[in-house]
Amino acid sequence: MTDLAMRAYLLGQATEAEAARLEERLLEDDETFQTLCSVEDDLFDEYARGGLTAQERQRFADRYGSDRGRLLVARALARRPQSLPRHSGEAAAAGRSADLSAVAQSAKVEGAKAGQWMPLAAAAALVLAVGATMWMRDRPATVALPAPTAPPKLAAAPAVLLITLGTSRSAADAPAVTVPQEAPALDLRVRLDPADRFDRYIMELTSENGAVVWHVEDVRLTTAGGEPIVAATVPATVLQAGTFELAVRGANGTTASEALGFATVRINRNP
Amino acid sequence: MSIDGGGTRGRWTLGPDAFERLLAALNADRERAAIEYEQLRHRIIGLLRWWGASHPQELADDTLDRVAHKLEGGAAIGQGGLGAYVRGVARMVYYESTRQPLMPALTRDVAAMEASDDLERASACLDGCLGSLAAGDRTMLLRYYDAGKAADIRKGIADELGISLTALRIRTHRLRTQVEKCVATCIDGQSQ
Repeated sequence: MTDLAMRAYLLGQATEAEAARLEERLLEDDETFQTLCSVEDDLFDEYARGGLTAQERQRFADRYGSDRGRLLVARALARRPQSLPRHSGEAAAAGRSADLSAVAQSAKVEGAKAGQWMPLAAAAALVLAVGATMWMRDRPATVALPAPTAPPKLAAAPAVLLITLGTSRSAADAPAVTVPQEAPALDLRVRLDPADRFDRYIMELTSENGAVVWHVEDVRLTTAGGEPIVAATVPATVLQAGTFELAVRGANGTTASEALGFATVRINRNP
Repeated sequence: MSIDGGGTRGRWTLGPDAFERLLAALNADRERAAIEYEQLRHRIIGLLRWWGASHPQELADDTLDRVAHKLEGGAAIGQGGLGAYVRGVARMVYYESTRQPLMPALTRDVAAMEASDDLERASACLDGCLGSLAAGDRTMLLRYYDAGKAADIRKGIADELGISLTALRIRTHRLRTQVEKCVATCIDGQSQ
């Protein structure tokens, strides 16, 4: 039984048959029971870090609202400064579950024709195709979420980053993309597995120190060249030079979202 | 003898023979069976808690008493049927309990319970309780819950320890439970 199924059970979102199956199993198997307890701990942390949807928060409160002790501990844990950088060398050495085998192409347009300077924002187009790895069908990292920001009004074409989430596994370094300083934004496009069809998608970028720097919900699927794509615009102001983790989730209606995978990207900023 | 799940009239009580039959149904080795009995009881308590029972320990004991009574009456629970059977009995016990006079409703106003003072106390207690753990356990616990639930970090921890991810989850859950109890005791101590 997956973590997602257990999470749904704890939030009262499982069907009767699914619930009965899980309950019979956990009564017979201590490992299943302990795993469910572990998923429950994570749910408390998600709540404390603001990682639940409004409906999930209500369901959580209905079930656990009287569990003051655990709520306080979850809140206190969430307040603690993180002891490890998000993308520490230690974590990298321990192995990543979503690796990227990348073919990076970076096209920069600099200078201008006939002595004129063409704004990089109008001309820069960076395309990065990354073959990714094994899907990690698990919950993405959750941290306290800032309020979603509306996409900026762009005066010119943003930089473009195209990521393909695929099935190859590699220990290669995260692909790097250069976003010119003048670029107002990064047009982030994620090529999805055709099987991952949902009503809406959630995309989120997390920095190395675990801070969510960008989060957008209600992204709709489009197609480009016959391939399923989700696309959103990331303001360049949140893209400091560094390594980021992109998480993509899919959701139908009001049900819990499902992690579709994540990818690591290095952002370089031109002076 | 009759069983009354409501507990208000005469109630069948678990005798030694019935208890031994229950243990034998769990495991042929009696010592092992006793451990499994306690583990099963713990899981039934958890299940009842998830159902929202206000007194899960009592209801779990009632559940096991009824299962033992059934076995004493000659019923045989198949190997694959224990979970389903126990669940069925627990369900009945739970539903009967909901027909009892209600205890005062527990507040579900989460925000009201998390006053800033409480959180400050909890944070201070958490620091103390974490400090009481063995250094290795403390490090493992903090790394496990650090930065959200990053699967790669957790897998990395499991690999470093040479254990499975499931074993890591179980270990950290137990440590967390220990810390939660410590924090609760600490907060209660400060409130007095």
